[in-house]
Amino acid sequence: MRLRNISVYVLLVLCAVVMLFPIAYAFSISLMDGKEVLQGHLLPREPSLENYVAAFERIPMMTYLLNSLIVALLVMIGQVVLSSLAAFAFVFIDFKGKGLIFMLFLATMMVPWEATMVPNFLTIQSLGWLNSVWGLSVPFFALAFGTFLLRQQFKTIPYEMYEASQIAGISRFRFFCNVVLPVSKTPIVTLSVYSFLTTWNMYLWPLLVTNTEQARTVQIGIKQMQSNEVASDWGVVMAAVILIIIPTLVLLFAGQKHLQEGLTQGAIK
Amino acid sequence: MKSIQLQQLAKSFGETEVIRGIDVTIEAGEFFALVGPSGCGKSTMLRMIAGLESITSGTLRIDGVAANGMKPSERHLSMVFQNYALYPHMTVEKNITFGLHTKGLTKLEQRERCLQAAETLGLTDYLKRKPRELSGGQRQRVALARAIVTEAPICLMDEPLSNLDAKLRAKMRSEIRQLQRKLGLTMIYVTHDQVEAMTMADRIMLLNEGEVQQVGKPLDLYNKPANTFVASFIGSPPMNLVNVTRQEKGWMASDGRLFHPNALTETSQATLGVRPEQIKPADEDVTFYAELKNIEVLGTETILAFDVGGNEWLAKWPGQWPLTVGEKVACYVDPKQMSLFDTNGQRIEPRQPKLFEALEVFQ
Amino acid sequence: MTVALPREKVRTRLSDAASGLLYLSPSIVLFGVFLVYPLLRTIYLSFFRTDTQGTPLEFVGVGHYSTLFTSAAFWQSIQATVGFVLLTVPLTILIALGLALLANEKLKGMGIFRTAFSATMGMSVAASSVIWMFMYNPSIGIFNRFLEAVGASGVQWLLDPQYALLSVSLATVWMNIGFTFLILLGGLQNIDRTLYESADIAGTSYWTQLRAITIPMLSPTLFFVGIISLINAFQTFGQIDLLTKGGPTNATNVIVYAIYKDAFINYNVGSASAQAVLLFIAVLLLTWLQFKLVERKVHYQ
Repeated sequence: MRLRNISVYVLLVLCAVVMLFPIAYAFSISLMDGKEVLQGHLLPREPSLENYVAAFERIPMMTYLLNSLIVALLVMIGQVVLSSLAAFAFVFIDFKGKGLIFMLFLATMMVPWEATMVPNFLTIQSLGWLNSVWGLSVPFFALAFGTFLLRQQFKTIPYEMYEASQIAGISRFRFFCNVVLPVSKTPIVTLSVYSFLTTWNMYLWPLLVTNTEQARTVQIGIKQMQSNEVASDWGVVMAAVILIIIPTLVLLFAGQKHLQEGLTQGAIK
Repeated sequence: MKSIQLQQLAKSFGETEVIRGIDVTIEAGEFFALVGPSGCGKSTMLRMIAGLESITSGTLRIDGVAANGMKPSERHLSMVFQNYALYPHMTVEKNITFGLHTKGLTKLEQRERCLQAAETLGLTDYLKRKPRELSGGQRQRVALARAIVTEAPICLMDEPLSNLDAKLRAKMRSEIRQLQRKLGLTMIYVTHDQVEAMTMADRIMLLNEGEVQQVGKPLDLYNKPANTFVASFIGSPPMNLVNVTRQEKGWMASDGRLFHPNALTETSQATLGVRPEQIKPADEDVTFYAELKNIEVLGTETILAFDVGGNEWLAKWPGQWPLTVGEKVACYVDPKQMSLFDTNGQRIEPRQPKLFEALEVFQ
Repeated sequence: MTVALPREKVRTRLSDAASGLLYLSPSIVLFGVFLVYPLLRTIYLSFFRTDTQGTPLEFVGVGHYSTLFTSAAFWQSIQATVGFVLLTVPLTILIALGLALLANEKLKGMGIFRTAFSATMGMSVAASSVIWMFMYNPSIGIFNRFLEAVGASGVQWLLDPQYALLSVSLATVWMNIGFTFLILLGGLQNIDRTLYESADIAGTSYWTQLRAITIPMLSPTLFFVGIISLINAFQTFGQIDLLTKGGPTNATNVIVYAIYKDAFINYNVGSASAQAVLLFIAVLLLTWLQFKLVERKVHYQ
């Protein structure tokens, strides 16, 4: 038994080292100065934060971070609001065609984003939303996955509670705000974390709809560094990389349990 | 058939002591019931015997051999889980024979044993079905079949009937008992239902909060409960209890009623216990009068509720009695059937006849 | 005597329908504008020759489609896509499964390892790609340094047509393990523990239990992960854009990148739309196939 446990631990450590190596390595590089990087050291002799300072000075890092933050927050709020409204309708309101509309929602998950990106770009362009937070966020407010996640949760609320509120004369919307939402904190948090993460990490769409330094999000900012004099200054590049993954890693660690449960629920369905 | 010995067996989860030093020997071929309320540690004990839970201290002996470090498969036992643990993706037949290959049986032998067990439990027609197509009772029997097909001398059962409805439970109680007798298994049966324990077991061990309350034959626990916990756990409705103080003439409750149990003791405070079925309608001797608070007529018996010393007592009278609430009825209790417990809840033994008492003085 | 019902109690079916649609309307509107309309428009545009602004100029029917099917570049991007999918999907699932099995053991400190294995889920494609780009760097990248240290010669990981797809695939596998691991771990943890305990009492080995209990009971999760991974693989873009830009010599020109290039660099919107339609059909077909063929073997409770 002991032997088995030890070999499991050994395997675990090996795998963890391999998996985390790129991240740890990037972090290490970000603390080195240019010479050490070219010399191929694994660890910095004198770790320093000058690369991070350089990242903020040489590229509009702050702008990128702020843009990403705003857009991610917008999408997070938008997705939670729209998904919860839609889920509420599916669970608590009975009307003809509900099944059909539900099927349509399901179908939207089948459409690959790329099949819509060209007309979407043109739409955003004609709305004058290029290089704006709206162009970056609004198209994503409707989320079938989020709707289903919250629908699963809302279904666990006893229908009698709703009927009681109706008899008491409370409006549907009141019931929605004061009963349904507070009770569903966990899946809402899960959805928020998921929304924030995926929006922060978005690449293709921001690439299409932004072309000014002011409007860029952090992911495209990283790409810009390639065609920049900074490109060969790998220490600074890695510092930027570390900067952009910190928020998502932190979120991931904080919400890990919730995320895992939420995703598994979806899988079992 | 194998015997099982627990020597000062104890279990802690971190700082929390769940089971405190238990000593008991389970005889080969015995039907031994582990009973107790939820959280008393009975399932943990069973799992320690099975090897699914580690033993913190003490020794477990199977047939005299220390088994603490043995893997579950080395202990030659079979186990039936509360939720049956049936593999949903395998047929009934595959469920029953799963794992038999480790015992070195050929495919033919495996199938033979499976057919035998299926016949014993009436599952022959269901061998090709999947668990989700079976009813609760049928699934239970598949779990049983899987246990007996291993021909292991020891069989462990963890609340196997708790998911069945009352009628099916009663039927399965008898079936399991007969099966155990027929196959000569040493069976350790965990349950929270004292009726199951009373009706099925050769001996019962009653646990509460990790400590043994009493071990003995069912009727011993019924007639001579070792403490007030056993007294209230065994029997339905449970034993009536009331605090009494020793007086010149006998033991008096707070409402002035006097009782005369046969008990040998020096103490002046005690708890008196009488079972509902031991309170009978009085013919000539009247032990006390009861003012009825409530009457439940069940057809086979009538249950009377009344106050004694501030506690609500129940009396179980056979047959149908035309009584009304508020009526005063005369009750009789045989002193031999009264139990007395000291201030710690422990049983005070009945008084020996005066003759022997006198003889003792001379020894 | 009539009893007056409170007005709130009287809900006509019409008002229910109106209410329902009200709650659904934001989602419906956005789906309509940004999903349904563009999809239909893409299909529409695929039949036209367009100008650089995407305005249709001339109806060409299936012209784009036939051009594509006879174009070597198109088949190359199909090849790159298929190769990429074959390289990444099975490997990701296998490795993630192995890690999930390891991380599911009841040992102390498992939380740390679980966090470690799911870490790549918190990395964006851009960030991961830049790190891997650095590691693949022919002169200072760590892979070539290691090769040189053991006496082998360095490899042009991203510039050699032989290695480019492999390199991108490896980076992608790493990126996707976090998510896949989390889902598979969740599936493993949902398996009833008593099934294993019963097997332990019977004395079956770890591998028997893995084969006979774990995999069948995990099959719904595996199926889900398979579909998601497959769909995701077909939509790969970011790492291509950062690592190879579709090269060298179109070796990594997977289909989404090809669409992007056609639409936004070559301004050939009609042809790009046709490719997008083909992609859509392919994904639909594959998912349908998966459901038809594999779902039968999935054991639902």
